[in-house]
Amino acid sequence: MLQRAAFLILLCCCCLKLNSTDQLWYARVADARDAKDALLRALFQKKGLAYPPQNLYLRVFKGESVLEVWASDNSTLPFTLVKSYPVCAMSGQLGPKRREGDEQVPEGFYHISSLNPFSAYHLSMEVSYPNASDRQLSTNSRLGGNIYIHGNCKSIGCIAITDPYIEEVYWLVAQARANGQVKIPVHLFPARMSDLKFNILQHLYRNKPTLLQFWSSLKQGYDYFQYYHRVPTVGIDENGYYFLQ
Amino acid sequence: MVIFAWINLLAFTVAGCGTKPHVPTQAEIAADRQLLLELQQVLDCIDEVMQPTDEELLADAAGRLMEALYCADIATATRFATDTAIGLLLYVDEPEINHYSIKRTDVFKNRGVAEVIINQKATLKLVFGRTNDYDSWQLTSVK
Repeated sequence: MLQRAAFLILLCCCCLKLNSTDQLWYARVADARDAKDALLRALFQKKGLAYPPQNLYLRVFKGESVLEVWASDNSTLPFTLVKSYPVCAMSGQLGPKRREGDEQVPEGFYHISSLNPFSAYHLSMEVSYPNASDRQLSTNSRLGGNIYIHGNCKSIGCIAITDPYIEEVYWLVAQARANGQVKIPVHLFPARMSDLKFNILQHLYRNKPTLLQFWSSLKQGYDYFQYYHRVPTVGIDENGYYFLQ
Repeated sequence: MVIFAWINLLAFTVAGCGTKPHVPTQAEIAADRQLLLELQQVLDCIDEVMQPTDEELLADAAGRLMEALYCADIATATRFATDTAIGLLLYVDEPEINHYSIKRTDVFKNRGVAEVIINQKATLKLVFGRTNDYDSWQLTSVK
């Protein structure tokens, strides 16, 4: 009886373990690990970070076509930039996604909501669009969805970073999730929101005060991270704009 | 003694009034005019020699533009760049300009290229244009 109980406990533990690394059951993920793990380990070591990653933070700058991966060893430490990836394809223009079919890449504060190892674009990570801000600021009832960061170099509202690069980011995200980071934040910005870039946006979009107000609320989160290298806790006010909590 | 003093006073008075003004002759007036004309020609020549070259004007426009961007002063930057060109800067992955230097300038009639190094790493080719030789250079594109 005791032996059977011990066996069941062991089996449960194994199942739990399998669940945490279940991504490795998928051939593409296993291949990604085989191809990229040593490289990523060396990169983290060079940056003085623990590997596998504990906490990840991703941010994308649409204007500059850059995806940055940041990591920290625990939630109390500031983040360190691990690597910047060039975005290969990104549809739409600067400005948030406000309706289904506009082919816009969203802008705002999101997280990775799911991983798809069977993606039509090699591997993909779903972005949690739409969020409460998007719902409030859109006048359209159909906001769309299925926004992914994926491989290949095609985009309809998604962020394509090519197969070799998605293998790296996907494998990092899979490991961080396995290590207990349930929500990996992904912040999508129109451009780097420095004073220079923001002033340019203000000048070019001077006839769109609503858009500028939205970007101004995004800038608060950008500035906070730039200064502290910590992910800001962001709230959404009654008008749908972001604010720092 | 008194007479001597009177003579002195008279002498000072004559000196204070000055000499009788000279009325130039027609020949002198003509010579003056000729001299002024020649001087003006010399000045024009110096002025022409001292005019900045197109390359210098381009470097000046590029420098002032970069200075405005360094200060995030977009209002001033618009004096040296079109809105379209300023918009292109959003796609350049340099959030701030902490340092810049103009590497070289090339002028091709009404098109000029200033090669600029930003933050000692990114090299940008700023393409300027002008409508004619007397127009000022304006940034039209970024490569």
